[in-house]
Amino acid sequence: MQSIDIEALNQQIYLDSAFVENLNRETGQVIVGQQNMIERLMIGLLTKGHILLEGLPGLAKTMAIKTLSQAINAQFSRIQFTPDLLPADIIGTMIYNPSTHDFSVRKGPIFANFILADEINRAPAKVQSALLEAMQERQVTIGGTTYPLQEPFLVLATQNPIEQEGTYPLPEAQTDRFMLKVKIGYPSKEEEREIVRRNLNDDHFGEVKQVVQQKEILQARQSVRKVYMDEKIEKYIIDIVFATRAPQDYGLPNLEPLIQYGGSPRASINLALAAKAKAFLHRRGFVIPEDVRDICHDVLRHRLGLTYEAEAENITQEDIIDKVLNTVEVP
Amino acid sequence: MRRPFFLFFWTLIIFFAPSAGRAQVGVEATLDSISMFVGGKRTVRLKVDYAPGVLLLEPGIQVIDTAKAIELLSSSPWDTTRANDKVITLEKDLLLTAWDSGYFQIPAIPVNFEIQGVVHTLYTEILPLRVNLTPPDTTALMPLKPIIDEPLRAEDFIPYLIGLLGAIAVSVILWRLLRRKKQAPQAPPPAPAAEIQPHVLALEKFRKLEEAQLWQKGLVVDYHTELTFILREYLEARFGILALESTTTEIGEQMEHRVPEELRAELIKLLNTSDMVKFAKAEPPAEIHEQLLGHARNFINSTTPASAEASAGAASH
Repeated sequence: MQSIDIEALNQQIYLDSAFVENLNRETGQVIVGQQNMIERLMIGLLTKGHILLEGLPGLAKTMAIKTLSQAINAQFSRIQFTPDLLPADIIGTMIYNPSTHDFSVRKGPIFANFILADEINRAPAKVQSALLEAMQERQVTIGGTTYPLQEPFLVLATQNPIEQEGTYPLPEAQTDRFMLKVKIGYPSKEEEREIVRRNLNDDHFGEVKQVVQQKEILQARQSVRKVYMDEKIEKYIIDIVFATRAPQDYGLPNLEPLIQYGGSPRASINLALAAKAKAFLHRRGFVIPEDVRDICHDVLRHRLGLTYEAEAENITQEDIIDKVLNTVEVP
Repeated sequence: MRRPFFLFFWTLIIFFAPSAGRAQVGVEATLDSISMFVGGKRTVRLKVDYAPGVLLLEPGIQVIDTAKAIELLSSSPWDTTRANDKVITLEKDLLLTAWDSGYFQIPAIPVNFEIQGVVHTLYTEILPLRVNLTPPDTTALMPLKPIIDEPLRAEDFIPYLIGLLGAIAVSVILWRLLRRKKQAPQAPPPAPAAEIQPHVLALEKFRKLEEAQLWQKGLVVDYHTELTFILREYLEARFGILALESTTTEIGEQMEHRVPEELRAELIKLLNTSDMVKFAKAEPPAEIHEQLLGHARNFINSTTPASAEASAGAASH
């Protein structure tokens, strides 16, 4: 087994993650509250994962990703998904130039670092597939030529939990491609008061300055993978995911009829990766059980299929995950 | 002049000779009622009057059966109701019935007789007959008749007898079993398992952990894993929290207001130090291992029910 110098690694991580505080400070100038969402965005950015965001309108989803892109000096584009959207509207197309009698490539809005796919469930399946394929492959093909997407590349797709009429819900196989599904709620009273005050002032939002170089982000990605994860933590992660697949083996036989399918191996991978990123953001070179538990809901909630029985009893994925976490022993 | 008279005379003879014979016979048929119910019976009385020199032949009463829906049931023999030197009267009753409702006709009955070797036939009149449907029973419904019980037989008692014998047999078996059980010496009841107090159990486990000398053997991670496991097990048993399924941070939150703050801080410090050993390969100095065990013992001794009461009492004074 490879020997790891934890102290040196810890020191290295501490140095590599120095930008996190700057980034938090800079985004905090514009975004009030929503620290959880900002942290999840950072986790996605550091692990090459994409994020599915579910929340009501007006909760600073767009502002958050826009601010993050400004702080990194990254290119940002927003795509509003509508029922008449075409795949070419996202990835781009070939345009005929009459003066040169030639076709030229017009790249779509996906050619950016940060993509906000707003209300992804309003577009038909073929458009969703085009985006999700690009997310997975990190490249698109236009007119027979393949173009790699620029790094860092982060897709933040939003879903509105209300107004489900006339939408195209993402299939389970597609949602599994998102590393995290983050649910955002309303700000607290103090946060909301601060939001109101800032909006009433003329100079309510400070100008976001670039505080991180993109190469720092790319380097941080390497560091995240180096974060030490003990075997006990690995076992803990595996136990959590397996408990969603075979709850009866973990003393939860009453969950068996409620779960249609449990977390996939991608869930285990992403839980481990997200826990590492979480440790990195806390400037630690090792993962502790708190990191796993903190990110567990966001990794698993869109990867659990519930039965009709569970739906009839108003049991949600959150309830299942809570029961699993309260049953699997922490190392 | 004689010839026309002769012709007239013979014409009278030809035309009136038979009727002269018939004039000596009279037939009549009468029906006792012109209406009846389906299936009822009516009587047709056939009456024949004739002079003594006339030979009465049997009447053709079978003609009645040719009528639709009417059936001749029987006929009585001739009954002489009058007989003198001028006329003889005979009567015959014909009993008939009908099986369908409607208006019917009893056909004319031919009556044959012989006068001076010549057979003559006279017919009775056609008689109308109305046959009605049986009227519905408008009287009240009679109550249902009770079930007629079959007379009891000896074999009817056999199932009851078998049941009774079975019950007696079971009772005897049970009685004998109970008697045998009472006679057998009673086994002493198992001694109730002594409920070990969580703090006693935890301190005993700490003693065993110390004896195992894990960290001295280089098994530092195992030592801290066991140490924190015993402590979390104690927290779960003593305070009823999900300590084994909680992280250090969560344990700290759950223990808030349950123990004095300095004890809680010491507990969190202990768990955090062990976490560093377990998850971050930290290698604390040797004295830390014993120190942590001492802290763990101190925490348990300070949170036993007796000491908790004592500290609560001291605080109240």
